Amino acid sequence: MKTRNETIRGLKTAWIDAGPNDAPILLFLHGFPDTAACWDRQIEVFAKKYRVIAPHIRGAAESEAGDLDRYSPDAVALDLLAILDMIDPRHKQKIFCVGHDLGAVHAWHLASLLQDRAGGVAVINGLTIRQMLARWAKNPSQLARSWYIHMMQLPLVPELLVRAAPSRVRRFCYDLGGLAGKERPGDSGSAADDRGAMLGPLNQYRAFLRTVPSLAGRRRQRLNCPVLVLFGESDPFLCPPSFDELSADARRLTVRIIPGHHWLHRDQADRVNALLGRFVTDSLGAPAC
Amino acid sequence: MINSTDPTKFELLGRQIALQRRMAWDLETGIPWQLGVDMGKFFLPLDDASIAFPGASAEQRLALSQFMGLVVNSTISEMEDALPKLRSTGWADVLREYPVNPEMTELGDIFFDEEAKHARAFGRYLEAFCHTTGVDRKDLDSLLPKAFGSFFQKAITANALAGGHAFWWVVASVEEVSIGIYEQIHKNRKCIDPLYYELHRRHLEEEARHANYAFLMLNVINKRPPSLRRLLHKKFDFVISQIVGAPWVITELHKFVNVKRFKGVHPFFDVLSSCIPLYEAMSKRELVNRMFIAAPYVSWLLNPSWRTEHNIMARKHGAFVPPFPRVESVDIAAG
Repeated sequence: MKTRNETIRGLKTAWIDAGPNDAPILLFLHGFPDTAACWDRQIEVFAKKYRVIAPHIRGAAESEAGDLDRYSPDAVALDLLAILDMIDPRHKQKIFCVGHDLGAVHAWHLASLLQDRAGGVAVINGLTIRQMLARWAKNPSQLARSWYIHMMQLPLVPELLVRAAPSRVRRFCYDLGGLAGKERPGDSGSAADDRGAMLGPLNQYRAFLRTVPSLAGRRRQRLNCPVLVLFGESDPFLCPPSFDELSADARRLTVRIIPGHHWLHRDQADRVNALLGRFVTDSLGAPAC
Repeated sequence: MINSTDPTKFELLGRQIALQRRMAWDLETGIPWQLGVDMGKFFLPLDDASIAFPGASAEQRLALSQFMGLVVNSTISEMEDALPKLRSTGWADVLREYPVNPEMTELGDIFFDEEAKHARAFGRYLEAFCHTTGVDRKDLDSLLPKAFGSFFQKAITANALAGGHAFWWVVASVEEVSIGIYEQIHKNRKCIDPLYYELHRRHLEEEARHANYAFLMLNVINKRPPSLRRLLHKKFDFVISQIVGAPWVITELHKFVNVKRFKGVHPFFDVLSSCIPLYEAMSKRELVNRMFIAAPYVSWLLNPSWRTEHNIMARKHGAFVPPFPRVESVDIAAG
């Protein structure tokens, strides 16, 4: 397992690269306030058979922050496509996208751009922007659970909080999400790391809401590749989705509701790995090894 | 035996699916239809102490046991036949709208298929009875419970269309009562018609394996974040299932008095007709007491306090459970 640092579309970008070079690619996309380190329990398992790529999203860890436009789903997707072109320039390998939380937005969007290269998508406790907007329109409970997204829209306030007490704010997010008393992902104990994991990436929430007007003019793309949605049923941020809610975005959909919280891939790592492993094998075929 | 009632334990549900598929019986070959019906034997254990007709003679008790056995068969058959009619509204729509694992859908498919098979099996027993005794099927049907087109069925359907789940409370109660009935039959199996016993034994096997499905559905429904409408359903659907179910049971049982019309048509009806004075001699108070408390089978359907699992689940979901009197525990001996 190594961390690669490259300049992608003019900004330094880092990602974890593990596993055999000639295997199908599993792209792991983290959420907020994580870094790619949150996938360590998945990387350990899947890098034995697949090429695992886990980018630090723009602004997180060693990936350089950019202006607000660089956090939009389109801009992040372009960064990810550039990374994929760099590691698989001849487009030989199928790509299976796995996203958690905000990473789910990117995984779903990227898969729609990859078209035939997409081998499948797995989403862990995350929704697309459209799905979230539809919920807000008819589910007051979800609107209330999304209080942090509304707070992130305030100018300067989130930045001031993060700068003032980065470790406490990050710990608060994890505790709220069900990791209280458990090992936190990528927790080095360093305030600088905590600040880095949040200060740039929180702009995703702002960039996402900016894209809302443009969604009205875009046709909803229904993914052709298999999609697995894993949801911890006690997620304090997101109500579990129904099949109907997601089926408009995926033709081949499997929804799984699991006892657990928001960071399902951390507190239910073995279970998630088993389910993900089976689904990836079914979607991509067993890798030659 | 109640399996897992937690819809998120999909590994357990997956094992249950495999077991149900492996152990499923065939309607033609799984039940020894060639035995025919032994009219010298009881269908349901019914002793003098527990009978709803005090003072009945041995001959009357035998005929009443057989008639009650047919009523039980017909009730289960009607209920299980009504299930597929609510498959879309009461089940498929719910599973699409609520967050569930794929095993819930697969288990539901098996559940509905099994219930339809059970309804056919109980219907076939009625045919076998008519074939053996020479009783006209139309005459018999006019005395047995019918759910289709009843207010009960319409009310449960309307509740499901409004997003309610009284349907699943009804299913849960029928499952538990049918298991209780089998326990009594099993204890007295030497006195019971062998075909009747085999039918209920086979029925129980599958009921016991899928008895948790109604509770799984209720858990799925009640895990949804609350809205005012959901809260109302959660609170009152249990009692709605009782309120619309009890009059149906009483009305359908009261059809028994119509047996007078068939006096002289068949000896079976003659013996049953001779029981009517015993029935009519009971005071209303005594009748209510027997129906809701003392008489087995009937009181189990009418009085939720007998259904332990059902009650536990209702209380767990915060449903309003009216204070019903306790049903007397029974150990019925046939004969």
